[in-house]
Amino acid sequence: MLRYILHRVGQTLVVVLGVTVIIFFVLRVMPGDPVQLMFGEGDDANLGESRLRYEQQLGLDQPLPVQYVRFLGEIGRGEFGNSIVRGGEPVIEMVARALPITVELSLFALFIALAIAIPVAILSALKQNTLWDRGGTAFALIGVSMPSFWQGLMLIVFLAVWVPIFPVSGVMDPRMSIVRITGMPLTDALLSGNWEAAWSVFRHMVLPALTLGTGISGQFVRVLRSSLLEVKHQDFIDAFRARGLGEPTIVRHMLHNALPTTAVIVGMRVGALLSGTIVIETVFAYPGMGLLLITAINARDFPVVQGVVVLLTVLVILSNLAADIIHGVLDPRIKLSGGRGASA
Amino acid sequence: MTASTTKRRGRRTRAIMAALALGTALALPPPAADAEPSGTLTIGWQWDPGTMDPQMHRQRYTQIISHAMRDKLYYQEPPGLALVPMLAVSVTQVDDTNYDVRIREGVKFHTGDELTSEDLVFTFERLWNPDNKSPRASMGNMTQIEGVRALDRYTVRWTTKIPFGPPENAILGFHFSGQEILHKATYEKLTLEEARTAGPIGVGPFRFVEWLPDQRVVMEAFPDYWQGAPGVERIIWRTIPEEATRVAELLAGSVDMIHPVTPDFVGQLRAAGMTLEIVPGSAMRMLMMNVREGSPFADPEVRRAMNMAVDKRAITEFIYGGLALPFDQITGAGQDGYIEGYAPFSYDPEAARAVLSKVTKPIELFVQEQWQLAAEAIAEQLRGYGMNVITVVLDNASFTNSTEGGTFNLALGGAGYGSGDFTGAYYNNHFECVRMATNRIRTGFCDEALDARMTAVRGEADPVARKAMLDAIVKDLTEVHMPWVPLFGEAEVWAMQPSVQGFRGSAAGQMFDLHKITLAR
Repeated sequence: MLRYILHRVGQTLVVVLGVTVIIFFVLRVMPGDPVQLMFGEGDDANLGESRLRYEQQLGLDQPLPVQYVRFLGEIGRGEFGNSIVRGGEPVIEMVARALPITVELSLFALFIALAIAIPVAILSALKQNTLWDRGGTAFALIGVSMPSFWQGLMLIVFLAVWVPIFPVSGVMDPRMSIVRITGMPLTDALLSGNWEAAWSVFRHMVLPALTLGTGISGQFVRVLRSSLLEVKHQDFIDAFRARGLGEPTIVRHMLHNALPTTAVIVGMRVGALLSGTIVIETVFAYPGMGLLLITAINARDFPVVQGVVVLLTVLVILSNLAADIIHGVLDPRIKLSGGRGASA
Repeated sequence: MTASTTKRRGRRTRAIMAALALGTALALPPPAADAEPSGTLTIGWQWDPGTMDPQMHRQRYTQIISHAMRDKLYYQEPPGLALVPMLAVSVTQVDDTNYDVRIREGVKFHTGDELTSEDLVFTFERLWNPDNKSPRASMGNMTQIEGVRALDRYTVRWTTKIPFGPPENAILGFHFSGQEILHKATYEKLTLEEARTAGPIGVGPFRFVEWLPDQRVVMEAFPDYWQGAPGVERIIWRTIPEEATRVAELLAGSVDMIHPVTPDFVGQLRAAGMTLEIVPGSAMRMLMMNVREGSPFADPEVRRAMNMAVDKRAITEFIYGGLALPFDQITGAGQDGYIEGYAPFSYDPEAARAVLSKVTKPIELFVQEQWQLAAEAIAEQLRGYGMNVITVVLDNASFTNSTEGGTFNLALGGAGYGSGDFTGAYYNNHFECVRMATNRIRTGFCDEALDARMTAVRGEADPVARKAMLDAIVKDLTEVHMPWVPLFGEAEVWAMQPSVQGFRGSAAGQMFDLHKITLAR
């Protein structure tokens, strides 16, 4: 197991290095640069000179290999440079502020996704080829294909404007404050015993988490249903039935056998979850990694985009690694070993 | 609209002259015995300020937040672009390169300290300190300033490297309207990193309370504000990037005001009983034509025909629902150099067809997404003359790259003139020949004789002569050289609950005079 983990960490370093090359040079190849956008039409008598001077001050006039080596050096020191647009704010501070918010939202969305997917998939599998099954399949199809941007806006219109059950956007009531402990608003409010703020954060989180969760729950339904159907027709399930075991017990055994595949899919969908936050966080004004990334891309804030992409890459790789390990733990038939011929 | 175009024409120059001549002490109302501030005004807008240091950014939205807490020497009084004195009382020209600025007495910072000339000197020296790498250091014509020094407690002398002309011209070069005044005792102790997040100390109407990046900025009324206590007790600025979400927040009643608002939502907001503040904006949309050799637009006759080919009034009426004004000259309404009633070309499809039907080369019309509909309408009109035009939608960065690199045929572009200035815009709108050497060029048009006339305008002290010179340049650009087809200017729109009273929008998109807002509950 240890050998396998070390092997995967080595692979991760290679992937991260590749990502730094791609993101660094793609950003430079893309039209437009941060100083050009920042200075815009400008009120300077000599705008061209002003921009040139500022580019020199930021080192953006240096050859690309020099800039790239400097970027790698910053990563090596655990830094990711400073934002060009936000008055020189360190990227690592921006990420430290946004990441916990996204993690908490994603976990809540994942909880919603599983809470929807597991019963729907069980019902579909147990009542295969019935109206229940077709309903579950249709739900999965809708969940996968519905644009999250549109879904988010519809939820806002129905559940925040027409029937105002939930707030429209934001993290919490703007008149409230929370003591920062972990950076995750709901967790911090609960840890500090601020129940009023916790309730407010929870209510603000429902619509974005629902939008994000229903999107991925469709994928979970499809995978879990297939796994359950596969297990359902195996001999040991027939044996259980022959022994007169009750349906709840049989379902528990089916789930136990179907979960390893689902666990891997859940782990693999972390990337989708994080990319989903780009749209969801923009629609719901939720200040996490997605909003940070899209704002930085629009402003061509190179250091921020680079830092966020590299960190997200590491996160996705680690979550995939965790999924593999969990798969191995849940399914004794899987052996994890490093090096050539490793299987996972 | 709250202010008509005609009312604002020429106001800027007249206002500056009058204010300076009268010593300007009465330009702004004296402190009055006010009612207690009450209520919380929640503003939903697109942005987060990014920094609390007013010298380390280039964004208008960051300046809006800063200006609510820190005043400047001059500002543009809403709704127009006219510069009026704020903390300044007078600007006196001592000789060609020296100007004395007198400031108000008795103005208090949020700390209780009085504003003095030392604060002014510190503010500008910090701005120009090369170690600080401020992106605002060269705004206006500040690279040509030798230095500032305090003459007495309330007077500061500005010394320039070159003549800046009469005071009404010089204040544009000094960029007095773009720099909030800092509290020396506070900021001389702060590092740049500390100043980025430290609560601002200024002499503005509101005091800093809290900034949660990408969520909200909170400020409270400063009861000792020199223009009188603000009408509201607290302002919460909520960052809501998506416009549809901002509209939903307003309709749900969880914010009091939103900005910006595009025409797509105006009807819905009106139907919901929201109050709209609509002010003619300070940005012109135009068709930029590439006049370089080999381009169909290198021929002035084609450019002339283009100026008669587009039905811009149909676009403002049917696409913008009246929330845009058609422009007929190369300067915008309210901008220095604008000529009242001057419209050399009228919409003449037959005259346009006679020339444009011969232009058969395929032409791409570059545009950014937010103006795509207008571009599609223009392309369709041009196709009606037999031209082969297709629209190509680009993101902001790609569009800027193409237009500044000169790699385009036709582009629906924009030019802001929030400062109201034209002499700076002449250069920055890419007319001046020197730009050809910087690889930041647009249409490829330049005329050295015109550049020389523009230089002469900058140094002209007589306002009447200056106006005549400027008019001639604007006419030559509009109807002789014609690198652009002036199209329209969109309105700046704010939407608010009916309970919000006293707000006046600014043509520059600024949110000044927030202390005048009250909430009727």
